[in-house]
Amino acid sequence: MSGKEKQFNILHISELAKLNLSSEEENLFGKQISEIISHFSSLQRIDTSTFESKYWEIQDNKIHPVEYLRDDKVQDSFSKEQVFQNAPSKENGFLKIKKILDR
Amino acid sequence: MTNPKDLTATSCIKLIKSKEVTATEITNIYLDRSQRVNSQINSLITICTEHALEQAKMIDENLDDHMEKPLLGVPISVKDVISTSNILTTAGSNILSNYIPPYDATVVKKLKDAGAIIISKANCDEFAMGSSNENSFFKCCRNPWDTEKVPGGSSGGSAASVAASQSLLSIGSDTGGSIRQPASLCGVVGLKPTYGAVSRIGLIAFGSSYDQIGPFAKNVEDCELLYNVIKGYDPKDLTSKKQIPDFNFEKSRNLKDLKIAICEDLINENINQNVKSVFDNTVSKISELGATIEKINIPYIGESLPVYYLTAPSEASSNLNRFDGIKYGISDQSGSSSWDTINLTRSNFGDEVKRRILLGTFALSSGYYDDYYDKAQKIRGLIIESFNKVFSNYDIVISPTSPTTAFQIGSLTNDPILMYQNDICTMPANIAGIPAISIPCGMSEGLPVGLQLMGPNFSEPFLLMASKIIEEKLSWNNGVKISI
Repeated sequence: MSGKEKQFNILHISELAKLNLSSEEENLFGKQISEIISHFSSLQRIDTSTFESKYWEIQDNKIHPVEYLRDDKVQDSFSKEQVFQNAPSKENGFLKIKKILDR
Repeated sequence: MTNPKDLTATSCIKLIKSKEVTATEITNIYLDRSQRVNSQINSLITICTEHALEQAKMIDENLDDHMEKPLLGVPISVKDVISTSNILTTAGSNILSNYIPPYDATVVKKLKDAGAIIISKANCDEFAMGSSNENSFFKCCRNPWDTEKVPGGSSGGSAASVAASQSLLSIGSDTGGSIRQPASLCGVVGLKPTYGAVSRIGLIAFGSSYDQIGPFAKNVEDCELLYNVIKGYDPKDLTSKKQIPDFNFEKSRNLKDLKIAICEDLINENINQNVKSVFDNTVSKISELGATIEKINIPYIGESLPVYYLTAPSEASSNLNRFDGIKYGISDQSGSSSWDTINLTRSNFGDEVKRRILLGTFALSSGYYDDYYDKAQKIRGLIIESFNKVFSNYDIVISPTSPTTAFQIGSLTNDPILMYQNDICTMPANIAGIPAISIPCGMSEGLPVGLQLMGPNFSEPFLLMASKIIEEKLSWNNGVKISI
């Protein structure tokens, strides 16, 4: 584990996050997040080997999906106009986007 | 003429019911004050004049039909991360600066059904990420007690609008302290309900396993009134509790049989000495009420900050992936492909949002997931177990709400870690999912100090009762009022 926090790679992570960063931002965020991560390294000292369950399994308010499923009935929904009312670009009832192939 | 500063929600409802004023008159008074004060504190992003007057008119025209409504004619502001049908909802972000939701959040529907008048959308940190309101794209809201100071965040506009009597109530959201910390810094009451007590439908998501919507009010009585309106099961929200269990407690109006714990781990070197002395003074007043007060340690609670700032940003990095410039929101189409649209549009996030998306993406990324996200989740589980043990011995855990009073605008913006420490006392309740309330408990150098009370899951009725008794005992501001 030791030294791993130093490996925060701003270029790789910003690509995964789909964020175009300026070189200024790369420097600033790269430095700040490395500091934050090393500040958080205290967690690694805590023994969690005995903790088997996931945190939500011990909460009182467990999620029981089956209990929540509604009957499969046709219901009113938004109109097409409402669904598209905020779309930046649309044509003939479809979202219009720029090409996605030939990246 | 009714003075907006003198009313509470409860007294406003009485005036309307007794027909001393109309809902339209009340609405106009608060719309007028909202406008005037907003130039000084910037607490509101949108003032909903037309919508509000329309709602008020509906009430006035059939007052007898509306008489039993629990929030009859009460003007309320709603944090701008909560969707309001046909009213701009920005989440404090440039990305959503043109977004008009086609539907009301479940809480907004409930407010309207209860006769409340939604008069404004309150300023907040972008996507509710921040502790000072300085991360709002629409510029920082200012603290009405001292306009050079922050109101706290992220629900800073909500807290400030109630403190400055621009509205009688407000709705905020609390992911790591975003209701309680600004309530503390602005001298109002703020409640973060139990996770699952209030529907999150229509709340623009930040950290879905943490987010809760909750009330702001001038006093505990009004806070309870609003909480009772917004709570309850929503079939559209899988995480809302189907039946809120009854919390059994003696409704006897005293604190004699209560066992209260002071969490020592939260009262460390980060707590400002002035806040500490107001807190100590408050503790001695509570003990005069007959409660047993003991100092305790809560294992793992000291790890709350890293646990929170690894897991909540992870959820945020996933939730905020939807802002791509294609379906809604602003869109930068200057590039040649859809990939460019996504990347260019997302450049419009503010710095703190970018930081948290990056931090969360890192914690979830291949090779780091086990050491960061998963590790933090396990420690989250250990913190929950710690609280469960504490509440088998104690009724309430108390602490200061915030380590400091309202701080100078700009003083912490360059140091994210220092900024994050503002939530040190409030994050544990979000981590555990338990309810927590902040009530004003005193003043320090002209600024309010808040007391936080945390209780076991679904103990809101009990927490509110205890808060009411403590509130009565404190007379926290000694009659000092906001000058604006």
